[in-house]
Amino acid sequence: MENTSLQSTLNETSEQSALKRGRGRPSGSNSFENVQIKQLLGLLSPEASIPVSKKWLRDTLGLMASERPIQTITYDYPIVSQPVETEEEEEKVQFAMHSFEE
Amino acid sequence: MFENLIGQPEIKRQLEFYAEAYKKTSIIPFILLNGAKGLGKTEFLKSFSKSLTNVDGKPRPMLELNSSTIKNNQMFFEQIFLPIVQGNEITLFFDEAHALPKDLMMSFLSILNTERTSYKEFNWREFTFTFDFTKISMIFATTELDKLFPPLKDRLTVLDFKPYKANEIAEIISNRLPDVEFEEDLLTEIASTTRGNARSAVKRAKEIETYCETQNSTLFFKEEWNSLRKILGIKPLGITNTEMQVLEILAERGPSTLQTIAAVTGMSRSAIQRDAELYLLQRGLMRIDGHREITKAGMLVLKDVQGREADMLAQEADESNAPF
Repeated sequence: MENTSLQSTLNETSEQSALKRGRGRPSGSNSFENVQIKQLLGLLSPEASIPVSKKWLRDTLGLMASERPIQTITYDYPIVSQPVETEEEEEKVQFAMHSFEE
Repeated sequence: MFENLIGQPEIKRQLEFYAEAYKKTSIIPFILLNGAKGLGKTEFLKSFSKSLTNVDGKPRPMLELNSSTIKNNQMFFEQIFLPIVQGNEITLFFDEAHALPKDLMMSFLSILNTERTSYKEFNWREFTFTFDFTKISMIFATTELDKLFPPLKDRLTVLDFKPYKANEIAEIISNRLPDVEFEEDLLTEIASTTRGNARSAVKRAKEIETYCETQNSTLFFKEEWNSLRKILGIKPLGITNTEMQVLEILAERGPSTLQTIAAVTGMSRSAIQRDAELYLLQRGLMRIDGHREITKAGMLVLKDVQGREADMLAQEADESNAPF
């Protein structure tokens, strides 16, 4: 049911783009639609790469995408995850203590 | 101080002098022990360090550091100086000091530049580290003196270790094996296979001990020695298989270039120079006069080894053909 709703939304969007005329984006039009993650997951596998806007990445998740070259950024599922702290193993000086006490 | 250590009379005299001076001044110079591996640098240093006493009359402990594991100033000050050295009476021993990182060597240039005082404050980042040389003794050791930063070397008192003489090696082996009875003069022959190296002598003593245990005997005569040589592949003068290979090439091909030897052995030129030629030249088994040549002494050693190997093969063939 939810998947059908998503499909109709996508169809509407492509029809709108087919009607586009002239130069540039018409006033009030929007390139994006709000979709629930669970709807997307009904169509895509958790490993699928999806394009998201750099603004959304920055404003919603606090992540920054590199400016160039333009590329698809793949984040491990789940998308919203806590940064993993990696602890680097500290290099140790090798030594031996000789006490000489009997 | 060195009653249990054999050889190195000059080193003993110098260290005894510094130990005696320490009793009056509580300081020793910044010492650098220089010499090849296995000459006893660490053993002599342990005995010396034991003789340095702290204010409480107890022997000063010695912290032996593997210099190659200190990557920078930060590792030294954070992992060693602050937790272990600061505020304590201790001897710092930097083994293989040529491997110290450049920034720490530079720091030591300042720290060891004490001139008339025995006290130095060293600033690193926002910290000040105090080196009171009545409490901290600093000793270095290296097998590669040429790789030590020359200005640092200039601040150190260099003590050179020498290869051991045959009679000293014989004494080391016999001291290690007080229960084993050796045939006359055999120890000198055994000593000749240790290349003047005390560590090799100790290792050889251990091999003899193991052999005697397996034979349930405390007698070690020529026959036993020949048997052990055969088992372990010990060659005259302790020459290695690589050195033998070089002698064989020179004997077969006549005067040769380093490039030829490298091509035939498959080793790099520097590896041949370092691992084979050095000892052969020292023992007069080859010479370099434009080309590399085997000497008469080299030919004798080569024939000796080849003769022994031929005898061994013949003996093995006899044994395998012998009727049951």
